[in-house]
Amino acid sequence: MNNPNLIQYIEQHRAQYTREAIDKQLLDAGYSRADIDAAWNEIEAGATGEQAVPPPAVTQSSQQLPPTQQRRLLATPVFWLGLFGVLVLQYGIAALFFPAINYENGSSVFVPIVGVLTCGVPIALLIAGSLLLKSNRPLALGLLYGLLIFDVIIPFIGAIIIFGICVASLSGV
Amino acid sequence: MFPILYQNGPFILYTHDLFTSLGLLAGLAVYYFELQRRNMLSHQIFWISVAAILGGGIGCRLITAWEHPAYYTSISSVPLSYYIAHSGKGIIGGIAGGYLAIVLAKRAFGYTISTGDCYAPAIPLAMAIGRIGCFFSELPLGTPTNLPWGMTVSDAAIAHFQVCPYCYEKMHPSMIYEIIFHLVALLLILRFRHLVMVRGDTLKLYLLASAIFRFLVEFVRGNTEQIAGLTGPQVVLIPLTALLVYHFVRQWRRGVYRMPPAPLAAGVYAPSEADLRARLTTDIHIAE
Repeated sequence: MNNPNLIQYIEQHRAQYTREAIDKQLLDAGYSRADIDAAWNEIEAGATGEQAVPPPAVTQSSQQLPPTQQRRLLATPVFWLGLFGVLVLQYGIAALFFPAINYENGSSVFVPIVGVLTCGVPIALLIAGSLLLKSNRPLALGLLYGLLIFDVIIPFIGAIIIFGICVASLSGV
Repeated sequence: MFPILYQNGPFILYTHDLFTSLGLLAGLAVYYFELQRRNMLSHQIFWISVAAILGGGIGCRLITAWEHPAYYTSISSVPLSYYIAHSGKGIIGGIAGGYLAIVLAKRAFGYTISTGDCYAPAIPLAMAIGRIGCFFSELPLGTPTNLPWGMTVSDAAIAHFQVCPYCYEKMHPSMIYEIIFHLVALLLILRFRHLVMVRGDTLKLYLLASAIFRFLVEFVRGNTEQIAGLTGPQVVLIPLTALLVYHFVRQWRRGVYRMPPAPLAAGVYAPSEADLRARLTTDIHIAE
């Protein structure tokens, strides 16, 4: 059991000060490095058991993963591969063909290709993500989170709300 | 000067876009490593990070919109997405937009831990890599100069640009200045960040230094002057820099930089005045 003064001091100041600064004050006050590290481990283990450090105001739903499982998921390369794979497929390939689309006369062989990529790829990824949920959960969650971010949140907020409203007001529509 | 890195028929790979993407990926990788090192990975950090990227993307577009409103009011026959893809972008707006998005997302989640220190090494690395793309794809490089390191460009490179003032003279390599600054900043952050006592101050110190440096570099950058002889980025940097200075002044006045001492460990006593005087006398005798 660590010195309660030691633990209290760390808990009081860790939201504002860095660990190095707190450790320096404790070392200057005569605490040993071993005691300081043990106190930090005790505080982080106690906070990790319930919520993130420090405990933010989060309501736990039945669908939410425990914090340790969340960290494991985010530490999985496959999750990030799925997430950024969606980004590459959705925006990267379309961007490569975008300069070839001729807006002056409205015709280009690449318009239907971009159309297929824009509409077909999200559907395919949604199906793939749903099917992979049981067999490869990190990849599936990466794909599904990627679809949510790049096909729902980004287009809605960036293109419709911000640019739509600003442009409409400037052009007097 | 290579504005187009690779072209095969309709397939075009732009130099600027490639290096911007590489910089963003490198920055995200460093950011992820910092989160993992500090044991801060969680679903809240994930969504806060997504908000940062969104805010950065929106901010980098909006920051330049005021410089050419006619461009946006002329929208009529082409899709909005075309204007979004071909409008100007500004990294200052990207950083400011991302910062604001993080503040709002953290309030929404009730997340109180400072995350700035995780971004501190990521942003200068991303900036340095991104600026390589700018150096290879933008003209003019800077205003004319007679300094020994002034750079000239070939006629073939100039031909890529419809308007290119100063291009037939030796120019300040302003992007090189910025690349050097960000690399030095990265090294200083990695070497001395343990000395910064307040969470988040490492990032704010970097942003303040970066803002001041960018303000000065703009005098040799060759950008169009907007108001009172100042370029668009300079005009925007004034209030942003003022906010950062206000933050540090407010922290200092609230005594944040005088960290409260820790309670003494058991068996350790605070030396009395007599003890200190005796120790000082002993030290003087030893010195003599």
